[in-house]
Amino acid sequence: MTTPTTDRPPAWTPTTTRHAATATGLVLLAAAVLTGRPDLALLAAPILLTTLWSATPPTRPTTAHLHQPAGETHAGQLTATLTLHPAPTAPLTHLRITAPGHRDTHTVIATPTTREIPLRLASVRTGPQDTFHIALRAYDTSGVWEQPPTDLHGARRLVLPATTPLGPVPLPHALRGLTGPHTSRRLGDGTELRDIHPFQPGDNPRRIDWRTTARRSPDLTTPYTRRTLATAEATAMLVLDSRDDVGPDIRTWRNHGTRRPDDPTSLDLARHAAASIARQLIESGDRVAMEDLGRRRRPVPPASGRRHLRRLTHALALAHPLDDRATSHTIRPPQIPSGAIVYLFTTLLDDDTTRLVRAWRTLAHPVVVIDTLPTLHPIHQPHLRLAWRITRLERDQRITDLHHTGTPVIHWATHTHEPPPRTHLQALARRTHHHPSPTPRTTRTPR
Amino acid sequence: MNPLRRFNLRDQPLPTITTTTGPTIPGWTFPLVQTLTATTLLTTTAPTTWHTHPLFLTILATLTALVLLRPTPATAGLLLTATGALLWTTGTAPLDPRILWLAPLAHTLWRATWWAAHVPPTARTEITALLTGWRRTAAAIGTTELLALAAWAVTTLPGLEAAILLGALALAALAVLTLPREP
Repeated sequence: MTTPTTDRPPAWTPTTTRHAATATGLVLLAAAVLTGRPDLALLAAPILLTTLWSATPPTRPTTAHLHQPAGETHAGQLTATLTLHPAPTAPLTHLRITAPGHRDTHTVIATPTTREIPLRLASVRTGPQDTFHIALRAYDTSGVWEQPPTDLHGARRLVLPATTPLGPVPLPHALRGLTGPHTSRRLGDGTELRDIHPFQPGDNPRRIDWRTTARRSPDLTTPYTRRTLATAEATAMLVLDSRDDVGPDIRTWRNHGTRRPDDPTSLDLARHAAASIARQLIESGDRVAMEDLGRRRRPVPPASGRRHLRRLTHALALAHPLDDRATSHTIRPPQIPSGAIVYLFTTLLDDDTTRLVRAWRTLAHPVVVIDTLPTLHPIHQPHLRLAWRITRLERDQRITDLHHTGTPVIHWATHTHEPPPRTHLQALARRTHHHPSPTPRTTRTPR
Repeated sequence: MNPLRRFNLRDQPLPTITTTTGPTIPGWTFPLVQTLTATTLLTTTAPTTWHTHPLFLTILATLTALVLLRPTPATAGLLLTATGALLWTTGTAPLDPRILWLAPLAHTLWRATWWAAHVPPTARTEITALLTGWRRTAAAIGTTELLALAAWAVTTLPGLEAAILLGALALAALAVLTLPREP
């Protein structure tokens, strides 16, 4: 992806250096003549000589191209390459490079020939991101001629969330479908042995266990077959609470101040967590759907496969808060596919999400809440510290209530001395595997 | 608690944009060079007995501060003119041999002022950018040194007035050539 060059760069203009050098030279020259002191004139001689050397302007303007790599962009990979085509006698280029959340970068570089300058942002944010804005100004060797500033704008880019490899993640108790990566509790075609049973009409003759038949029915009047447990797939619903996007600096909440681009916000953590869990589930062959609480539109339907993972990743990257939380509508519980597990990614800063969890639990959907509030920076202002104390107490109460309802809450942003979230997810997956919910009624596999 | 932190939204500076360039120097180097060269020009041109005089110190501080705070070619030219006035007042007539090193120093001040005027203190400047056109600068300073040596030699010979007039005419032609023209 290449941004067009500086369109129609302005012509070269003389700087005040030329006029000042001439004036200084004439004054000292007149003084030298009037006083009979040639050393006064010699004081200005180098300045006059170098100015005289740059009597004519460069023949053509300095131009630039900004090349941004095409394709998918992941966090920390916001790069571009600036290509400068300098004028023949203008080897100095002054670059002023700006980007949201970054300090302005001023650099004066030598451009004797065409030169490429790699640029990189320090942003770890995901989603739609504004990139570079470059103001370029060129000078000739002596600084007598200058090319007025020309602007280059980098394109807005969609930064996709990265994923972290996870181990086993919690699955729904009720597996659905006739095939899949998991062994269900239903009787059917599969690999895991359920029992050995007398042959019945409809059984596959290839599954007759001849050893058991010879042992139990030596006269071969009743053949015995090996019956297996059917396979099935799990369905997971990723519910992203994109209504607020808060950073680790509490002073920047409610859109005050400038958020640091090198600090991931709650939405960045939610995107990362959702993408990691979606990848783990889809690589296991399960079906994943997605719903965005902040937007009233159709959810991403449940599906599996690599293409669906890309669709989910893009949907996650495009999720963003639309309006202020105070004016947001009361959210309705999204429709969850039957037997699906719900992964809710939220900051738990209001009661709406806990109300949703209760509704889902009423419908017997297992829910895993991923707490995406980032680890906050120390708060120094007394009023903010008091406000956060109240907010934290309310939030802790919500988490306690969720624990009481049997809903696990996993903090995605952990300290270095704490176990990573994948450990919690693995432990939770083991627990649900060892203590499944009541077994549903066994049915025969339709043939 | 530091009271300043209450009003300072950023505890740490925002991150910078990484640009891959050659070796650089910070932009505050140019005001530093300006200060050093301006002070050296004025103090070495003035006699040592003036160095403790309040009036001279005031002028020195004023001119140095002016060129430091307003790094424009006009202020640099003003400081060079002041140096010329000091040279005329206190130098040895008709040609002070100190011009042999005062002229390169004046050019250094001129270029440092240009850089300070165009480069913010927080900017980075490539060393290769500083060295662009060094042949041109060396040629100009070398020519000036040759002129100074020639003038020094001529001033020791008879017919001083004619030589000064000749040199002045040559420099006047040089100044006229530098006048802006339509490209």
